Amino acid sequence: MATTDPTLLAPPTIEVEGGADVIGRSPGQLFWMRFRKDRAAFLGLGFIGFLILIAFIAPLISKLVGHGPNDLYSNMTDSIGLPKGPTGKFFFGADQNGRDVFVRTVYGTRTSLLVAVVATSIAVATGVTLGTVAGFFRGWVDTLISRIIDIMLSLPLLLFAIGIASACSLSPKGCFGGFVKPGRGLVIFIIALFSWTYIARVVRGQVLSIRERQFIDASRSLGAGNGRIMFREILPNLVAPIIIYSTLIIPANVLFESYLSYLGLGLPPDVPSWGGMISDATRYYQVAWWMMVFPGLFLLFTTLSFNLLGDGLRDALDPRGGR
Amino acid sequence: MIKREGVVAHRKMIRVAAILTILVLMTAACSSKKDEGTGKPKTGGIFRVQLKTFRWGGGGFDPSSTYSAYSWTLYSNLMIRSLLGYRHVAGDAGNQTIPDLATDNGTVSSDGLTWTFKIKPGVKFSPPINRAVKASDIVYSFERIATPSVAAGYSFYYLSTIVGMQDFYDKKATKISGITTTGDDTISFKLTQPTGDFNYRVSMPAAAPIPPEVGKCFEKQGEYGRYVVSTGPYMFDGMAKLDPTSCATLKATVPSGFDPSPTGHVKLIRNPNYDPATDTKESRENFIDGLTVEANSNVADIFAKILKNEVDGEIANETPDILQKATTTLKNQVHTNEGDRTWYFSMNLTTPPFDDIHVRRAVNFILDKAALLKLAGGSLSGVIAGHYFPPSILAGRLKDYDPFKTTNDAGDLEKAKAEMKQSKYDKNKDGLCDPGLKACGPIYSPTEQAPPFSDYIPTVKNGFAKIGLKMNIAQVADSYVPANKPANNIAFFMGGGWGKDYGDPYTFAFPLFYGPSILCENNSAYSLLGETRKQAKACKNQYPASGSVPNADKKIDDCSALAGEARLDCWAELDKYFTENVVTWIPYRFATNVDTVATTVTKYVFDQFSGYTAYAHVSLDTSKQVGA
Repeated sequence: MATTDPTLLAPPTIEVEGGADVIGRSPGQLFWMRFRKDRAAFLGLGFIGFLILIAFIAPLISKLVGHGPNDLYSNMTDSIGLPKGPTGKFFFGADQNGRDVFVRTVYGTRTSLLVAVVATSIAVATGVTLGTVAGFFRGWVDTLISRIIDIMLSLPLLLFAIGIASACSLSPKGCFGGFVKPGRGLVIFIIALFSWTYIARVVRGQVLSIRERQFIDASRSLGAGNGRIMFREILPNLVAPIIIYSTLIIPANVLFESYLSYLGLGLPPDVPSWGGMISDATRYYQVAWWMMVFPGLFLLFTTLSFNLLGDGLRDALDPRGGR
Repeated sequence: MIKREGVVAHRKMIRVAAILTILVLMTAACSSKKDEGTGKPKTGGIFRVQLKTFRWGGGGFDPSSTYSAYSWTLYSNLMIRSLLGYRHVAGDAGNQTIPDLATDNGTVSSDGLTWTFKIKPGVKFSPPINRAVKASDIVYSFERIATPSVAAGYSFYYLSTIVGMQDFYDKKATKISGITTTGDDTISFKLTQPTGDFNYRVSMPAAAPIPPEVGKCFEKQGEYGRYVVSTGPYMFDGMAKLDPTSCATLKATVPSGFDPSPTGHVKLIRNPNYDPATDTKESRENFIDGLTVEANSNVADIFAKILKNEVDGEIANETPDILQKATTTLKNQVHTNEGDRTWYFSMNLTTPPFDDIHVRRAVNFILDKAALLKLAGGSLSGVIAGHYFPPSILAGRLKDYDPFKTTNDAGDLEKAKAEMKQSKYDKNKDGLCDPGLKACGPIYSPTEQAPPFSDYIPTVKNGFAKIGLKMNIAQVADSYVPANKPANNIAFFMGGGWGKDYGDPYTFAFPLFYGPSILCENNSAYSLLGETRKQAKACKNQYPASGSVPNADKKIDDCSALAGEARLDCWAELDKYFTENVVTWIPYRFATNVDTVATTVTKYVFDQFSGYTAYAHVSLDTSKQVGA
């Protein structure tokens, strides 16, 4: 009769010096353990949380202050139309229209986050889909998508953005058969159009590697179709890079929205945006510093926070990757 | 005691000396100020100008075609002389014509159809031509205006006015039958109809003599601009080096005085053939030795250089810090004068909801004009406009006329709602444009990205929303592109601004309100007043269901035929008619021209005709110029 050593079936216990056992941890636990040690990322996360909060409660803040973002206060400009500085009621001073810079900065948070997050979501969805398809199918599909990505990346981004924004603003019908109309939709479209390529290229590279692994062969041998393999087997393995790149694309898109608004090609002037506010301020910086400083600081800290968070997530999710 | 008395006496002496010293210093200070303000202007120095955008009105500085006020400043003050000219001073006197090349203001036949001028003897063209000006040189200038390839910018003032000029333009005639000369010094113009402002039309730069031996070498748009031959006190640097033997030899050298590229320059020097005896000090004093114009896209830098005396004058919009000090530390350097320009928002009479006069009146009542004025620079930028033609070209008529006046010019909701209630777009009579109607919005309106237009948007949107009009105002790089094409059916255009070409309201009425002036491309008559169904069909713009658009052509023709006070009275009545009965605009500002100069400028004069510095009268203190 054969006998089995029961100790062979039990999980190995490794004793280390001091008698403590090594504890098995899930990937989530490992991520959290590493992430919480990154104080800068935590600070960024905290500021982003703060931004999200004030974006949500912007109307409440406006109500408490007693000024709407587009309320015009003629007493807040002097006789030749120069804006007046911070007061007890106008914490950040007024702009050239006599509007409250504080309330507009708060509302600008809402605009920047909304435009950046929506545009980033569209860009990520597009980039992930096309990158996955290109990497998975390879051949002419990969060639076609990769060359499109190359062409997009080689375009002078800002010039094309300006051109599209101008062309689509010439009539209320917009452009592309009315698909894109002047205003917020146009800005989101332009940002998404020029930012999907980065993530598509990253995803394609990852998919090319993953599709060669044995579990993909196993899945195919069990009868899984291409769609299932791509989106149920491969895609879950790409969550980490997608999250990391998304957090890094968001601040770039916040800045992109600001560029367009700065150039007067973004949102209508009655939609508060930091870029638009800074653009207005450039004419007045010698006499009204507050118009530039406050939205500028919010823009700076927002992009910094998202970048710190993105770096922290990368370090936590991919500890082997070097900076 | 003796010692004490000595001390007292000594102290008294010190006091007297101190008082005397103070008096001497005060006298010196006062006398030096007096010298600066009223002393004789000095001759000499190069007047250095920087301008933001180096553009010359589409004609490349060709006097026949260039339609730009700053070009006219250089022509009229410095370079070329027309039959009639200007004093180049501020105010009404600056808008009146005086003899320049002509010996007098000309004679007009009793039927008002023939104008005759005699040319002064001794006026010569600058190098390389060096000959006396003849009447035939003026005939040639008018032939250039009627030459399609030259693309004369304001040929509409002449083509249908002078007999035979349209035929010449259409190549049906080889001469303009309505222009005749007698000898070398007399020229007559036969007109198709009495034209009370013909004196102004012959004062324009396009009507100044051009030597055919040069002009005929450059008959394509913009070519002649580099070779302008002067009759005035200054000319392009390098003109003396040209060889006018033939077109080929002429074109072989390009004068260094003008480079039309965006980063180009103008350099003017004294014209050796100019004889001050043929001119008057009233018109030109010519203190400066020359003038340079350079492009500088950095407006802040232009003004920084003015403050450092590195530049003497500017052509740019004053920055806020300059405006802030305009009435204090810079009050002797920042000059404000009437601009003879109206800023307005234009409503399209063919497009809902502005095809309804009650809506047009309602928006006139609701708009906060005081806010718009502040956004443009407040009191420094002008005054609130209550009607269409600037009072300065109506010789003060209608100065306080404003049928849409509201308290503090801040808009009046009650009056606006009362008008809106009478509109077909307010069926429930609540004073608001009915929300379900397409006409009530969003109303698409393209506007400039640049201030002050971009700054006006909140004021317009907020105001119009109070009477139920929802505006969709889009900022575009050049809002005039869509607005200039009637087919785009732009209902409301915020970029409207019009300055006089010369000191007569015809220069507003004809291009902006005369039906035949409406063009399918490059149209400036945004409101389409007087448009016929046929024109609408040709331009592919919508036309009101009512089947007609208000028309003022007959009234404009009637005023145009008059002269003198009767003419101005007629224009004033027409202005009232436009303001109250047609209501095509929301006029909001009669502009002031703000002009900043360095402390090097010891004599500053504003030229009312062209709206810029009167270089014909300025003088410099070269010892203060930095980097000259």
